[in-house]
Amino acid sequence: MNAPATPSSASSNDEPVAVETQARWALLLLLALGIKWFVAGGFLALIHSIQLHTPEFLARYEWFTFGRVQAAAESALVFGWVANVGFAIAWWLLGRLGGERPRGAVGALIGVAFWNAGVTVGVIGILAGDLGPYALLQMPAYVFPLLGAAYAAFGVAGLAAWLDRRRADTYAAQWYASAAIFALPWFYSAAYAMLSLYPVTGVSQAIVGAWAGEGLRLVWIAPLALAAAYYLVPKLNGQKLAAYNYADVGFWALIVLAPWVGTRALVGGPVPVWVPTVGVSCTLLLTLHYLIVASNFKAVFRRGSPSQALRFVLVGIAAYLASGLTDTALAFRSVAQYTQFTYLGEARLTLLVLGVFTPIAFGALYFLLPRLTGRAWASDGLIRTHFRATWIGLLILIAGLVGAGLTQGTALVAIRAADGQIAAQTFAEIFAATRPWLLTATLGLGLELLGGVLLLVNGILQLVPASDAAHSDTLASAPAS
Amino acid sequence: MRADPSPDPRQERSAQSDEALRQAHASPPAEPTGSNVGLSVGLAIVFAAVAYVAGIYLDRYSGRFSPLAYNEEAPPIAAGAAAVPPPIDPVVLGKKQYAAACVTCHQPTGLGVPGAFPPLAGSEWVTGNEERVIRVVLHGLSGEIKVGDKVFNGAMPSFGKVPGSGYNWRDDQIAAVLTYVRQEWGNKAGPITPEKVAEVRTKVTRDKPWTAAELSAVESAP
Amino acid sequence: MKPSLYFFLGVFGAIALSWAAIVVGSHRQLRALGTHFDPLDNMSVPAAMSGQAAQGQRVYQELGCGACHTQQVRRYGYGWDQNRGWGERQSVARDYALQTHPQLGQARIGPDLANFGERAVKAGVDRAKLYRMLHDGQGGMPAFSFLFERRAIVGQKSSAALALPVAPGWQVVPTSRAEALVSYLLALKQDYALPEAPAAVIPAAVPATPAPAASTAPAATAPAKTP
Repeated sequence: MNAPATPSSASSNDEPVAVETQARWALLLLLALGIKWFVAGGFLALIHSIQLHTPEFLARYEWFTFGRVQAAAESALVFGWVANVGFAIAWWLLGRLGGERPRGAVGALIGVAFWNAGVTVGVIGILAGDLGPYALLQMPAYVFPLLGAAYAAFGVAGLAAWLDRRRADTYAAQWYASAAIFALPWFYSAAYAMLSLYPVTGVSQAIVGAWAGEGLRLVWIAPLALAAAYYLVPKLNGQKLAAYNYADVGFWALIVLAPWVGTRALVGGPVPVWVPTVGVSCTLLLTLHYLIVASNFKAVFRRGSPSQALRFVLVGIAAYLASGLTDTALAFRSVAQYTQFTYLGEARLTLLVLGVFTPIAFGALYFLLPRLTGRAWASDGLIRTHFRATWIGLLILIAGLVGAGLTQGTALVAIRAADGQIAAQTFAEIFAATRPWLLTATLGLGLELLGGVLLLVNGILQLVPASDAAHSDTLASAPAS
Repeated sequence: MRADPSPDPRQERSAQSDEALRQAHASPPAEPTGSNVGLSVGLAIVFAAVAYVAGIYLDRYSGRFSPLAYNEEAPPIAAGAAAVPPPIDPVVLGKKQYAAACVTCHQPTGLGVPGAFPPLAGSEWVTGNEERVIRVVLHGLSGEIKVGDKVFNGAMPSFGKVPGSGYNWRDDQIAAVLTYVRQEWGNKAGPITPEKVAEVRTKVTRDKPWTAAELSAVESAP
Repeated sequence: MKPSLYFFLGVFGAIALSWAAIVVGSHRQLRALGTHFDPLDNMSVPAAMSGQAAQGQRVYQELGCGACHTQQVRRYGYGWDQNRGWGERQSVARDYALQTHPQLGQARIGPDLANFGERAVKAGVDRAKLYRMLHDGQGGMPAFSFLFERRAIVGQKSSAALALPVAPGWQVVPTSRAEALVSYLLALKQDYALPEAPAAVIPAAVPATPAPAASTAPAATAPAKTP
């Protein structure tokens, strides 16, 4: 049950709460499957990244042709890693903050199994050629019923954790978590209905794709990360967030404005100009949300922290603010005409999934997993190395993609004069110019993936029955002083 | 407990209980403090500025929410522009029709092929009586015909929406191609209206090509 | 619980509003447009794709071609699409009105293909050259050799067989998917006029078309070396 408010005792703070004891197996399954997908999706992403600079890599095999690997990597990371771990964290913190026993843990367990079966079929389906053309909506339509039924089984458990809460007053982490749990089925089923069930023709499809894809990014993935950040930061540093009384404005700014921004990706394209213009305008308005998030967490960056988990979360928050800033900058037509259709598009999604969600989820995992298993992590050296690999890998990865994107964007409009002849750069020349950047990006992704493997190793070691006594320390039995 | 002298780095410690966290964030501030006022004012100013820019942007680049506006730099398209297409220049349409069908025999020069296909340039059949030339195009022509001082013997298919026609040109298309040939290559005859073509088509029922002799009789008709 | 109801109504309503305004709103507008009847040509544009080309569009999607190729020409003065010779006018919604699987594309790692069929004709790229390009890969594009199969020659050699050095008695021929894909690529053209997309008025001082080697004729140049 909920620990009584006695902040003087460390052990009472760290006693497992109802959601951790009663939903232990469902949470562990979600986290384990999520990490599995991180590794699987990460390897697919690595193949994709290698193919960017070495197109002939695995090109002989139809299943590993470029477009499919990219879609499969994206789907595995988003619907495997983000969906599983994100839901686990959201459910867990709703349970902790709501102070109620979780309902539907068994249903969740079954739902999770089916969800992951659905994602597996979806990813294999993509590699087999059943892929859609829109970002985050590439999984074949036939997995939707399975995913929908599975999500109903465990998503309901998440919403119950919100509805069952004991108190009327709520905390920001709860808003973001429940909104995210609610937004995924909304966007995904609307897109499924309009792209597959009763498909619209022509560019209306692209509008649906842009709206739903960006909706999933900003109203599902980002709130999952924010929910964990809003919970973990005060939990780990013991401080009240600065300017917290604005947090609700920041939340509603995101929920109300973010669904409108998706169509900005169609700027200059074959849609009436008002469609992308509305998106650009709302992107500008969305700066309000980023400003408030920045004000909430600003002070945390100044204070150092001994907590590794908190460091991970801070990397994610910093990346989130950076992504907000670049989103706004890239929204303007005058900028977009050069950056559109370049690697910067990939950099944006990578920044959100691997830069924002992933570090925050790692932080949450380092906090949560010992509470579920009752065992401390096997090695803090591995945690430190993982942290370094994560932030350095992320920097290199994003720098590589941004560098490639800017090179490509300028080369697409650049002309070269040779023998008085004016000619646009050929795609072979652009390929050669971007290649060093793309190699850099592969290096960064490799580091990022290595970090994930370290987490996996640490987790497996944690579960291995320890021979030496220090390793069998549980949180509950830790000395209070 | 943050002052814990030797925290185990392999376990993350809670720095406060969930209850303490909730309570710290649940209570509203008693009164606006200095930094809070500064932030309020700052946020309000920044947001007002952003909203102003966003509003201007929306107005400037919305193309008045028209489904036909694809260039935000272009002047707005008037409402209903799609419903009322711009009037067609009969000469432009006629030229297209001519290039699609007539050009094979009568040639781009309008001079025809000596001994095989009669010329249109300077031909009295073309520039003369309107009804006569409409009938030629509507129903076709076969047998001997004297153009200028040369005699041709060939067969011209029917182009109108009449029995036996493989072309089924509309009235406005026939009017356009006739207007075109009557004003091209130095010809200087008046235009032919679609109404006139329609009139001839409803008035005259015929399922085989004309002969020159039959057409010469038209000359005397009113 | 009351606050929860308002909360969910708020989240639901916020998403629903954007959906109704952007997705449904634009869909109703665009559906009302339909195709354009051109009285000069006495036909409606765009025309529907042939059956084989429509199959090719599915192949195009299955292979994820949209990950590297767009199919949309932006207006003159916005980006360099028309300077690169990708089209003579901007692509507009009606160009895709009849397509069940429009492939607007995500990135330009390769050239835009909105008018590929037209460019190919101008550059003298025929089906045989396209097969060869798909089989061998070109520039940064990987080879799609799995779209072709090695088959024993029974009777006469297939007219579509690729000019490749193979063992006597054998030939490399395109599969039906490769045939459909090439039909689709050659059918890609936006060469008709639409009132909302006038041809760009290009100032004389600006080089209108780059050298053919650049992108106007991606297939005209010899296939890339295969090391």
